[in-house]
Amino acid sequence: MDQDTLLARWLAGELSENELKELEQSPEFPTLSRIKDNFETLHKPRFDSGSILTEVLSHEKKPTKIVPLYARRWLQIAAAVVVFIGLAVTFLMPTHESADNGKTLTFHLPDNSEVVLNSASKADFSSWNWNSKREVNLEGEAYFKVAKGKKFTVDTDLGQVMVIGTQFNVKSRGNRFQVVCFEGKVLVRFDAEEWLLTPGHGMNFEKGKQPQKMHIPDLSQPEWMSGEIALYLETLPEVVAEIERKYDVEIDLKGESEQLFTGFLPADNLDAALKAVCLTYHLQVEKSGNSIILKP
Amino acid sequence: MENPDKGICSENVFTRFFNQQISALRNFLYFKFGNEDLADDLAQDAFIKLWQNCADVRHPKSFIYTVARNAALNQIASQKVALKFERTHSKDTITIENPEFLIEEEQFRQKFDRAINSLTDAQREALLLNRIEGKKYKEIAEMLDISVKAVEKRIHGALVTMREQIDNFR
Repeated sequence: MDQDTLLARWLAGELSENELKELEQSPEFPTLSRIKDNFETLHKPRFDSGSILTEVLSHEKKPTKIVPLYARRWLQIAAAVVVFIGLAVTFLMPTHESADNGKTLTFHLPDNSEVVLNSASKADFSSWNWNSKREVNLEGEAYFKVAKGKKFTVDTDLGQVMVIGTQFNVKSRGNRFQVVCFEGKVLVRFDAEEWLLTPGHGMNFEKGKQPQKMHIPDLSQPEWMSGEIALYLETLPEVVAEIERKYDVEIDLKGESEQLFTGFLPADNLDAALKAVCLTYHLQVEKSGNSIILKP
Repeated sequence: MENPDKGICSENVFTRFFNQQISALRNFLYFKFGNEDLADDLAQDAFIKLWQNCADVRHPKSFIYTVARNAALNQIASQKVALKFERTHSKDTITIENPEFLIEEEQFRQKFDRAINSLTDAQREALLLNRIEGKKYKEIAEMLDISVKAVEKRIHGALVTMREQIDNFR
């Protein structure tokens, strides 16, 4: 057995007979035995435990269990708020759709209504609660094929369009707000006035001017959707802006004219479109690199 | 939330626990430092910490020894250990009228006390907890947070040292 614990085991009375016999015959044993006996005469050191207890109990207990629980409860509330905001952001934030210059974009609303965005146009809508509140915010121009259902609203900076299941085009650019109905009935609201449109009819609004009725028979969809730029009583700068959006180019317009433009321009042939504008307004086209200049 | 007045937080339970443990804890510190006031103070501090944090403490016994050991670590052992023991003088030594024997007994006791004070702190606390407080090796191991084997080695080493000290200074 281990020699380095021998005497400890002897004190505890755990030695084997052989170990004990061997130890008892060793020359150190008499003194060891006397040491052991001497311990028997020692008293426990005495002290005043009563005054220690009194002193201990005079201290206040710390209410430690309470504080962390509140802390944790606040954490839980904070976490719940974060989760709630996250869900709210996910579900309540409007969905954005946009078409860049030179592009168009077709997308579907939650009720399968179809929207075709013309170039440089944006639409926002919120998917949440869509079926009870069908509303699209529009900047620019778009064609809507609305599924039958509850009231469908297109909101623009200039005016509102409200329908129930129909097809129509909305254009809201600059000061111009233009709505054309292709199917069903369309209610247009502009400056607190309302107009009811039937297929083939449209309204053209411009701030500060009288609303104008448009009549476009035999048209199943807007011209821009079949690759044409349709212009109705547009000013020269607006005509140029339309070309810029459709072809994604920049045009420096140096001429002026009071004449309004009504007609079609091709949406797939820039030179032809520029030529048509130049012929009408007596302008010259000058191209240098990527820039286009129109001047008298 | 736990009831703040249950378990060790109840004054009755705490007092019972205190009375069971105070002697071993206080004397453990006394055996270590050989300073009664310091032992009283450190033992008291350990129980104050237990009382203040009673709601958070799961194992009160290991808690007070952990606190006491940590406090002991911070004590600079500057003072010389000066343990003094009260003794029971056996009837035999009083009745036997043999002056030579009585003188020899007294000399042995002095050498015995000197030998104890010359032990290392680790040896002394283990040996005296066993011999004076009557703690088993397993209990001492728990108090000091070491193995039973380590306790046995310390006690063996303590006895070897004491025997040498006493025999070499006859």
